[in-house]
Amino acid sequence: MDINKEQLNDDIIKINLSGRMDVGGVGEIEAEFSTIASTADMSIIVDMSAVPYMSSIGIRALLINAKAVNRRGQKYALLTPQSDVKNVLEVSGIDQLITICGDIDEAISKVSS
Amino acid sequence: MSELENNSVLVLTIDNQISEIARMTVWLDKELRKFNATPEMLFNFDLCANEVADNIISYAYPNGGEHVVTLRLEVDSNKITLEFEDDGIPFNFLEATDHVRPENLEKAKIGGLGIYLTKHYMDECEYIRRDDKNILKIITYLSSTSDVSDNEK
Repeated sequence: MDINKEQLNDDIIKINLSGRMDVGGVGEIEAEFSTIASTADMSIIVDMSAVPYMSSIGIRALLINAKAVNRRGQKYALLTPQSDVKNVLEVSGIDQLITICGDIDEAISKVSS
Repeated sequence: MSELENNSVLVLTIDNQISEIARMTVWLDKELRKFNATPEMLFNFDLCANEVADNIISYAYPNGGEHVVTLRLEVDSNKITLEFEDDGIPFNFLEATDHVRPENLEKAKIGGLGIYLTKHYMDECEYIRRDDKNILKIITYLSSTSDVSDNEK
């Protein structure tokens, strides 16, 4: 997997993930993923549009990440997951815990307080 | 890598190393495509095989050591069956504690999610303990309108 971040404005960072969120892929990005979530005192939008696959290890990574951001009092949203990945999130019940947005404007609005 | 067993069963063996999951994933995708599996079937088997293999490799061998996990893929006219055989500690997949849909982010736990997903995405799962081995079959039934066909014949 690949990971990079963009500063959208003074309060929001967008993390762009790409590749399969399987046990190997998550292993490649989890250190940086958690560093961004635990150090930047900002709300976070995770762009999932380039992630074609996610197993439970990917959900675990998202949950750990979202919890860290939530504990800081900041907000967290997932942006445009592909349909298969969105289905896994829904079956797991994660869509009830983490906001999933269909476009960037909606995501910015959801994480802006 | 894979070989025909009894003319219709494809076999792959992997070591009990997490790095072997990638090789399994490539094998499974390649073999299922030969049967014209739909994108949905490819995704579902990819997901569930990853969950089962990760579970076996991570938890079946508390004392470590080198072990082999055998996968058998069988496609017939009405179903796709993927069997996992391991010589790890007894673990009845079907009786494992299910994932509980979490109430909130702070309470959310990940335990059991892989098993829950596998039961959800497959039509049927069968488990037996035989000759000191765990044998788990995950099965998807093919609808009569499916275009999946046995190209081996």
